[in-house]
Amino acid sequence: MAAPESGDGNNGAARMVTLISSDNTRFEVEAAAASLSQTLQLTILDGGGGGGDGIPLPNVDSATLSKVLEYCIKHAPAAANGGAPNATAVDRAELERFDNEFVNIDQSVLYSLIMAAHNLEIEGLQSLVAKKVADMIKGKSPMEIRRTLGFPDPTPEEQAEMNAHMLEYGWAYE
Amino acid sequence: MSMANKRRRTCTISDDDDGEPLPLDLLLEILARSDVRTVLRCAATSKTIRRVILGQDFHRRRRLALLRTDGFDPALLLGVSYMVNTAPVAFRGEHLRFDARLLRSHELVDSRDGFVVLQQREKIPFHDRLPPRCAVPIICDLRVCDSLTGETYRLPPPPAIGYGYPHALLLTHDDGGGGRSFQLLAADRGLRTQTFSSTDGRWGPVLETTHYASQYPYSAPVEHKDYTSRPIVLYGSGAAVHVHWLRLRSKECMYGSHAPHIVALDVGSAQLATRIDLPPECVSRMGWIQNATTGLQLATSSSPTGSLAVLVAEILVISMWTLEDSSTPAWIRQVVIKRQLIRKQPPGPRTHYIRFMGFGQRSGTVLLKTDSVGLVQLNLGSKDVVIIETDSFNLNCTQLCLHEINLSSLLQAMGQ
Repeated sequence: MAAPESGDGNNGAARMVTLISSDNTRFEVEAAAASLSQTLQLTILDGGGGGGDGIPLPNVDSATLSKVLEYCIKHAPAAANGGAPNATAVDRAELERFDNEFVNIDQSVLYSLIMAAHNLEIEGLQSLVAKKVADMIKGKSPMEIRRTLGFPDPTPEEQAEMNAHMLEYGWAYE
Repeated sequence: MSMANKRRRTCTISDDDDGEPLPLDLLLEILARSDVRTVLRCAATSKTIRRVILGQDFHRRRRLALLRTDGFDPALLLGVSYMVNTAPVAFRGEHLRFDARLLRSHELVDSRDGFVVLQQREKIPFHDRLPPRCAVPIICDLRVCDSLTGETYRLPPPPAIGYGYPHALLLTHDDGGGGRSFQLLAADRGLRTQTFSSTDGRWGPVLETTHYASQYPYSAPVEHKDYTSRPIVLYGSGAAVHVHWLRLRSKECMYGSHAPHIVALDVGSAQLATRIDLPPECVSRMGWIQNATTGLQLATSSSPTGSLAVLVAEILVISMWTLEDSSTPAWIRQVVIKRQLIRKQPPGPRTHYIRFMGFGQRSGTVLLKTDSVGLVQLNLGSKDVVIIETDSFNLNCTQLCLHEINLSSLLQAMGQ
């Protein structure tokens, strides 16, 4: 995946680092993009990931990592501006459009993504995916929510509790 | 710890059983971004989730997530009950356990967090009577209805003080007792107060208000001529509670000491009252069509820890004036919406007269009535306009109430 040329020239933009997924695929990205991950930031500041070494990420597969990096590359310029106080409305709208499209993906990919964002501590991505899952469970019944969140099927006593709850809080089920 | 318990501490957000476990941390992040109905439905699904969302961490994250949006959560508005002529109507909130027929014989005093305070009318209501008046000689029936559980509490009048300001419902802080509870604050003309606690089942001792600082002398509410609005309650740090009423001494004179002003009563450790004057511009911007009893509405700038604000029905727009710092008051004006956007589809005649009917602090809902459209709901955060009722000619603001909920107190009441 090629990083777009960033003309800013600040923040050591040209420096590249290599990340290695669990299935041994190597990804070369700008250090600024990879540094959106709190987990990787310190390692990169210490000079890791350069040269032929690469940083191994044993709990992220290549499909997920490429998706994560797509997000990082898109968001890196704005993040470098410190939350983009001087970003134009057009830039912000473009990021928003990108975000919306970015999470418009298969459920299984979404779940790998939320775990990866969590493990790599990428705040913006965590928040984006959490919002998406929140939208997915919106309007669903408790049973559907359990299934979506991957809870085991309820025990009879849990089922009884759920029914009692539905009776007591009828307005929440309108 | 058994295997079954262990399995429930984490959950897999996956279609297949062998998916990776989803840390509770992530579950919190998701629920912090969910609307209140989803949170409650999730609470129904398992003890684990209930335990998680009862924690402080969840409230902190939710507040953060709210701040990232516009500070109001429209989903906290469950519905609106009102009367059309003599028929009770519920707008949404069909499952609420509030009997809107009560609004025939009783008028709204205050409503907050699922509780509605009503008092019996003295007479059959007549058209366009002014909202809550002062110095009602005898309150025959004062009751607090819980529109979530359907329970009704009948309250005796405060034994040691007379009627002065409209009663204020206060939120009770979590005292670990579980169950839903409320407090009702009564203040007489001299701002001496008594508070009814549903936990104790009686009125507390009389408290004197120790200080009253103002450029203008304090004017006690007097019958007939003047007007006192329903209260807005703000919660400061610790136990500080600030109750605000909008006061107007006469409709004819709106300047100087007679200008519309806010009486702020700080309840808590020390009881202090202050007069906060509105900027004269507020009144002049309303033009000659509006009057201050209907063209001004107390509000808050956001939820749950917003600043005090006043909505003003200006000639061209509805504006919000926010009190930035109450020690050296500075009012900041902001346009909420252009009047011309409050209209029917297809557009009817222009709206000339706006009458504010109420405000919901949690959802940021403004209820207002216009002569050409009817009863309208406007959300301060999203600026969404919803027409609730077109046949609102005879509707006055003591005959309708907003039902809002407070998620944290609701979850507390639900318990483990």
